[in-house]
Amino acid sequence: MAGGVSRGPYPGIYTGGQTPGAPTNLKGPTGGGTGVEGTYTPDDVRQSNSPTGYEWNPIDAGYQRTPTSTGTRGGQEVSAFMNAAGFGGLAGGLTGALGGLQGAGGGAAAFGGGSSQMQPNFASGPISAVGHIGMPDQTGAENATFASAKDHVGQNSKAALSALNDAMAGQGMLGSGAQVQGSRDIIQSGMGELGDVRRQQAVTHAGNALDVAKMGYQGDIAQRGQNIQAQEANARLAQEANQLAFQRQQAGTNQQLQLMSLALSGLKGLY
Amino acid sequence: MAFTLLQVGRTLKSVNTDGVLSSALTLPSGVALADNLIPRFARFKRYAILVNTPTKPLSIDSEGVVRLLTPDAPTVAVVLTAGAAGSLTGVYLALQTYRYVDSSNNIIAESAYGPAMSAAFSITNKKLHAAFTAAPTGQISEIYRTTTNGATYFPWASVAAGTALVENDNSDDSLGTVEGASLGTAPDLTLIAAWQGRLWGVDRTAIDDLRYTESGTMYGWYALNTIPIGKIGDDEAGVTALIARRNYLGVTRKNQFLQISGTSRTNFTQTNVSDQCGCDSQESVVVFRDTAYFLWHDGVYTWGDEGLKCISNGQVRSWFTSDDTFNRAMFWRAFATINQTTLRYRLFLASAGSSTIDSWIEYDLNTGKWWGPHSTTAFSPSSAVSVYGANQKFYPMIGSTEQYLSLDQETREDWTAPIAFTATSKAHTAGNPSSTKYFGELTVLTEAQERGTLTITPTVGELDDSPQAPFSLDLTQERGRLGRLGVGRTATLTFENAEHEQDVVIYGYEVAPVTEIGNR
Repeated sequence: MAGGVSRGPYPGIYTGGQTPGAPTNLKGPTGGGTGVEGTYTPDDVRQSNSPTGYEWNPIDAGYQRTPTSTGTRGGQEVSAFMNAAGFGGLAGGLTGALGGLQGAGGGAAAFGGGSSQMQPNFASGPISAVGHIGMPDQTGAENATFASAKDHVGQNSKAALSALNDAMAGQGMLGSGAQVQGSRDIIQSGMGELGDVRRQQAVTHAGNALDVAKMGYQGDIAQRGQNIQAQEANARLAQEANQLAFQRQQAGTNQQLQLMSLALSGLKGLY
Repeated sequence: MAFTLLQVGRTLKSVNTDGVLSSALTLPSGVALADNLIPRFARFKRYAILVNTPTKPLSIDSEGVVRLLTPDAPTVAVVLTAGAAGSLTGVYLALQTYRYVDSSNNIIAESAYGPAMSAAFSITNKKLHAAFTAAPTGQISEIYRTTTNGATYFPWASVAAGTALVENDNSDDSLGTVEGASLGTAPDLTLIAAWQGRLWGVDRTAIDDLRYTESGTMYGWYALNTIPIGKIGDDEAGVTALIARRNYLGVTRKNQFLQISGTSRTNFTQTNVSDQCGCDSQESVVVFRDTAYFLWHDGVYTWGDEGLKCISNGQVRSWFTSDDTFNRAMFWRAFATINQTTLRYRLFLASAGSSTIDSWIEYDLNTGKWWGPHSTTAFSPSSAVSVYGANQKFYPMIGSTEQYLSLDQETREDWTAPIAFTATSKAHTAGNPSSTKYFGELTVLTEAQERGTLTITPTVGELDDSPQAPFSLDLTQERGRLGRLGVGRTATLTFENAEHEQDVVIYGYEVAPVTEIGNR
């Protein structure tokens, strides 16, 4: 018998080809496969009336979120939280990241409220990384500091040269080699002081850059750790979801068997 | 080559070591020399400084190039704008000066700073563009600027004459290390002296203030370099003379003598040497072997290690304390020099009744004797000059209103004119001024000359009696026996000679017998 494959091992609902000898005059659930219109169970009815994003769980006898809608809602909630916390730039990424987490490693994305069980719906692709914080521009402050230092050095050098000239003049030694050497020493001293300022600035700048790089590196490590944790969590959740799904499947199978048994026993009675 | 500077009329000339007079030196534009004032000179390093007669103080270098002592400062502030794209970011101020520089870019003189900008200028990632008034020919512009948000000006760029802009993005690191020097324009000076590696002077209007330059410069007349000389406002003459003597600078007023000591603005000390002595004429000041000689209203003084001392208080005090010999009202125009060969201080004065300098006296530094007064009919002295000769020796010369320099010589003539010689003895009284005496025969002993006649005029009787008939002594003889002098209370002899190129050496004379007649 032709027909699509139904989703559920719901009792009494089979499509053609799955069970030899099974009646084929039964219509599948809403939106399901082909077949002859037949008899619907109450679960069928409930399932067909599921709200958007929800499905009927006959075991729990209740509606639960579908895995896809759960992940989407979870991402939206996280996004709203981050926007409120001022991390709006990341919120949009998180929504996509959560979607990615859903698909990574087969795990489940356990976010948001609603039912505790969900069917994982993992998106493909790696977890997006958080960008590094750049080092602040200190050029203005450095230039201002240097200018102040140069002013001091300039004034002091002028005063020193003037004092040297006065002393040399008092001894009649203006223009002498002693004055030349003294002037040279004063100027070199001033240049040395300014060089020290620049050198210290360079050292500080390099230190700041190193600190920022370390922060970035540490952030990368933390982020990587968090990613791994998230991946592990996803895997764990996926595993749990798989187990749950298996259990559900088992329960459904058992229920079908029971129903079959009942049906067969009933048929036995007929025949 | 060394030379001596002279002001001749309204021109400035030089005399080289061969005695050759130059043509008039070219003065800076807009500068003229007054011919009714006394030029005052000083020497600073390899420059001569001239003040008082020029419109603005001048410097003259060894090549005879005349420049302003301090160039005129810029009159317009620098204008900063943003130039092309560059790497400079910050807030800046700029200043401008003008400089004279030599061929090696050494600073000869620098003007005061131009006006400051009214507000700082800010640029971001641009080149800094400065517009200013270009330097005149023969000068350059020096532009200074601050570091960003700074208040200290550093040398930024040197710009050739005729160029009125500079644009670059040189960083603050590339500016000069030393703040711009303290500068200022030289005032209109009347007095000038070089001492302790600076120039010192007195402004024509601020007559009680002593101004000086920054150490080692002749152009940095910084405004704070001022010492008020007490007693401020005491008279209309103010500071009358500057005397640089070793570790002290003497500063005189009409009736006060102070000395400045120290090496910098922070330790210059003013000490009062005397409240009862001053100097009447800057030109009478001569410093020789750490002793200064100068004229005050009652005589000639020295200032040395022993302090102040009057050297004319002996026989010649009356020259300075009466108007019989010299016109004391003309002491302020006196001038002097020292002959380093004969070691004589020669002081030129106006004779009694004269309003021009027409005579001179001499003080022998070795013997302490005074000679003169001397005069000449050949010329009218106007200045005393020491000219540097080809043998690297100084020759004392006399400048004249006839625009000639006269040099001392052995030959006894002035410009071919004879030198008149007159010597008068004291009034002989033989120890008894009130009694009448008989003065006998006169005998005179002289050095024998090749020729010549000495005229001896006796005056016997009372002090105010008229002279008698003169005797004539043949100077070819060593001894001349002349006639009897006559009868009277006193006897005075006057020796005269006005022959051309005639030497006269009188060893002595004798009057014998001298017989006391009695009191009448």
